[in-house]
Amino acid sequence: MKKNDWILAGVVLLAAALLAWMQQGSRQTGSRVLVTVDGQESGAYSLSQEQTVRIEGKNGYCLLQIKNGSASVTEADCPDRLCVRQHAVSKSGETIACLPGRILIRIEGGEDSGYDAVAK
Amino acid sequence: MKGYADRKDLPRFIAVFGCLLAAAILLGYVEMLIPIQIPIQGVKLGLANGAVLLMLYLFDAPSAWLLSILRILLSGFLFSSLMTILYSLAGGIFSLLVMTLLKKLRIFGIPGVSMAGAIAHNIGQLAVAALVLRSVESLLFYLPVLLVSGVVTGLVIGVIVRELLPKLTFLNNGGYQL
Repeated sequence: MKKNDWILAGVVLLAAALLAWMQQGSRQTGSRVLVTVDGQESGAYSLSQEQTVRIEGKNGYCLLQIKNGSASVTEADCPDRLCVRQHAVSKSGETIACLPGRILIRIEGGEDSGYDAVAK
Repeated sequence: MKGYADRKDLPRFIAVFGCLLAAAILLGYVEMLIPIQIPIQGVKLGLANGAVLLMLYLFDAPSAWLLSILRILLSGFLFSSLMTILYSLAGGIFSLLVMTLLKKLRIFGIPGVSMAGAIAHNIGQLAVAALVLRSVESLLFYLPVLLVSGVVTGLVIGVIVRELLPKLTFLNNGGYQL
């Protein structure tokens, strides 16, 4: 393996670590789940309220489950179902994307209306 | 591919091309069957890229491009949807652009070229995803993981191809050179 190969690997890994670290710094426990379909906001749900929401996407749907202060997709009718396999998200900035349905589920941080992090 | 048509080794080229195309489609399918999936979107091994890399180093860039695009179209129509084909094409084309350029520049070995290709593939797909979802934040969220996975998978595939190449020189009549 050439020396340049190692340099490339090192530089990219460093960039990734830096990027992740920067994001981690601004990440707090989330309070809201923001759902957008095709770039349009379609709903916002509190993370402290346990519920299951059916989201209608462009060419299909997915079920968003909010439980124990985190959000996950439990069911979807897309062919690859990558969104279902992904881990639950709970920190601000964390995202679950469902590409076929153009659904984007994003955790927002900051102050929740009424509720507190206590609910967790 | 340039010049193959008027050379005696055209039948050899066609045979090798067919074999590698079949291998690429099969490898892509095998990858889908692997039960242990990393629960992060877009992370995959990229076994099929190994066949594309082999083509790039055994023959030339145009034949690697042809192989990659045919593979994406064929396995797309066989196993998935039109949408998946578009994502794959975005990743595949961007990846080959980078790999073709870097191979020409000769500053990286095969693992380095493979790594850069894998990273470019991931960035290409992510860019299309961000366009579809109209969200830059989602792009930033996935970028670190996809960068790391590009380095790791690209390295693995690149080392495999580098070790395989000297043993496969009979495929292109010994014309293989680094």
